[in-house]
Amino acid sequence: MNITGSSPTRARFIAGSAAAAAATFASINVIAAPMKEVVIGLNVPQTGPYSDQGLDQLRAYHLAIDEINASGGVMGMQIKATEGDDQTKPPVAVENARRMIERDGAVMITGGSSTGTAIAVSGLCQEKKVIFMATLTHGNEPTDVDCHYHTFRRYNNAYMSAHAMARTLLSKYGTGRWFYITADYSWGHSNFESLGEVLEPKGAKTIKNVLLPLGTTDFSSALSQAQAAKPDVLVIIEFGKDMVNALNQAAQFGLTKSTKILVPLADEYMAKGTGDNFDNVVTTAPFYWKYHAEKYPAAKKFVEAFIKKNGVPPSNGAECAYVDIYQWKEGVERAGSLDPKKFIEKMEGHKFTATKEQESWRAFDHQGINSCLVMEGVPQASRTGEFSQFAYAKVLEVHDGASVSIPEGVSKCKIESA
Amino acid sequence: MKDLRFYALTALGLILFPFIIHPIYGYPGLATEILILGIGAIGFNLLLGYAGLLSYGQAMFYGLGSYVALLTIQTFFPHFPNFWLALFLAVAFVTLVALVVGMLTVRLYGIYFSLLTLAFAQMFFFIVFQWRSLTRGDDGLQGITVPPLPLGFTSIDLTGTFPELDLGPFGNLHDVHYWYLFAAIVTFLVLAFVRTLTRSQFGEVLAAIRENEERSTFVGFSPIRYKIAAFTIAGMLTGLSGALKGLYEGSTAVDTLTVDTSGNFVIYTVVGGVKTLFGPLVGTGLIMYLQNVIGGKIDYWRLIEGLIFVAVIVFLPGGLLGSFGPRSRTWLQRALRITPQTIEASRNVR
Repeated sequence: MNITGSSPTRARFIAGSAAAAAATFASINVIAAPMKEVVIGLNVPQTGPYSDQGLDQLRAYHLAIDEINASGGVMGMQIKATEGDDQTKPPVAVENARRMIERDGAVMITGGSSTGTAIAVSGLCQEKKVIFMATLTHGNEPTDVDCHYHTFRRYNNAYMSAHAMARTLLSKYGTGRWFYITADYSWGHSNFESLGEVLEPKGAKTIKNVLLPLGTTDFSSALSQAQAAKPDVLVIIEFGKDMVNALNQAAQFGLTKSTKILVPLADEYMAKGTGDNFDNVVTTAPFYWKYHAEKYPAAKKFVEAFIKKNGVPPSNGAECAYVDIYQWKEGVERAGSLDPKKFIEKMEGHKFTATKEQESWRAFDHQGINSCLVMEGVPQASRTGEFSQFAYAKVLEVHDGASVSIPEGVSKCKIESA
Repeated sequence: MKDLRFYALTALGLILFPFIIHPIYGYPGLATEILILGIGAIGFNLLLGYAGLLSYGQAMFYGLGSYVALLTIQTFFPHFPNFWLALFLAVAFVTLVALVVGMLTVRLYGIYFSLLTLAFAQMFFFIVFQWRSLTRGDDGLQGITVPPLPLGFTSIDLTGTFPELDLGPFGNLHDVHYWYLFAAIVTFLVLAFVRTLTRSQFGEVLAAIRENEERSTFVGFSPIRYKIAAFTIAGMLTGLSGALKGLYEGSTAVDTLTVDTSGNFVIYTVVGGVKTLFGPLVGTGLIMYLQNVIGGKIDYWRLIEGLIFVAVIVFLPGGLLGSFGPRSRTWLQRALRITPQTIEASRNVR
């Protein structure tokens, strides 16, 4: 067969083109072959009711990643982030995480803002044997009944908030009549149950619990029931924009003036959205930029860097996101490897100091143990200084994490061994 | 001979698919999801394309399929978790639901039919949302261990992967899970089934009913029965798609039953091309690919998706395959707005 010098045929042309195309792609891959890097997945809500919190976590993730990359990376590897918008929907969160792991080769997934998405992603990461650093998730499940070997959660949970709030408030409101408006998913149920477990033995009476779906915008039917019931305490177990809507509408019903209001978990963006309606509302948070920056130099450094980069102070979810990236980096470096098993061994029981007092990772459920603040909202007129919009509360009491967290004997966590 | 060529080319396409998308930032997991959702869109096309019925409630079949499959494993038969049983019960249950809903809805026309299917879908959404003891409400079913696929004396863990084989720019065989192979086989069977169905008398009668219901009645066919059958088969395939997705993820959530999900099937099908066999699959592939590749980089992906949908309806009413596929008119004919009818008409004039 004469190969050289033959005239071009159609088949030959196609074969040639295909070879050229393949060569082009191959060369792109060679050129694009990066310097040594490690991919992590940032999976947060960028749209939907919890998007303020998600976007703020994203800012903190990037701050931490930039700092780490500028100072040499993780074991000499640059961190490369791949992002996804989970829309606060578990199926979307799982799809994102799968893409990050399968396509982008992420060795660690982090993110949150909803316990629903956290539980779903945690399940996938367990199947894929990829580390999941759950950030803003406050329901008990991710480190309780739905705990997994590959998941770590540093953020306070509902049990901790309930016990901390109860300790601060019981003397004043413990025996009254309580009315609840609750987000109808794991986080809401978790908070409702945790509060009930603490309050009811002390004599508090639950009049009613109105469940409303995530993303509810009109709370008037629930609020008119609350108004008619005349409770001593109204607990609004809502988060993000849902809580902003609920509390602002409660004010229209006059409930913020007539009734003590409790919001088990709040952050800077929710307080900003509710303005004066947040006055006197009692809540909890694991971190408050104003309080911690005054007390801890590391927190001050973080808050200042965050403000310098983003022009606003960090919310408590952002702080957790920032510390989670550093915790992962330090864990990997202690393990000397990206192997998840070695990482987990080095994390369990580890004690460290980041932006607060000394903290630790519990071995049996992978819950981070750190303090829980009980706070009370202040009116806008008394919010002072720069970023006064975000200076939303005064700290009533700080509870030691170990004293309010789920005891091992009570925990429903049965963690896998691999 | 023509059949053989069809089956061979379809099989070849399905085998090459996960590798072809590798150089353009696709990945095997995405290929699997495209096929699984594509099965639902192919089913929906039976309804929209062949029977001319715009159901806005496909989510009920998709969502129920995923729930029944996972509940079979977790709750109904926890001591006998079986992949085939889960798949069978899910498809059987959804088929039954589709039959009943079909009998109650296909008598209506146009917007009334669409609204009634939407209403049924919402009803199932609220049942699943409220029945917390069974469905875990808004949290959905999460982290369920899906048993391996039993095959006679052995069984295959579908999450396992093929052996290492570097394919250069087309990735590595090792990246492909057995799940893809399983989804591809099911897709192949579904395509063969729908192709046979639409080429049979059943398909011809459906088309006749779509074009002129009165005339087909006078010819002696019962439109209602044919429409119920089309509705049931479409529901069954969408339920199969949901069951596969549930088993693939090991989780499902109430979002699978929302209007969004129903709308997705409409978008996939219309973008790909109604009345074409492969259109829905192509539409699913394109939208999911863009969603994964662009959606990860741009915040306003939903806007782009909307623009694509509008652009297809305005400029390519036949969808991608209907407009550019082998049976479509040439671009010149389209540009000159020449249709077979106008050609015929011009002949008649002379």
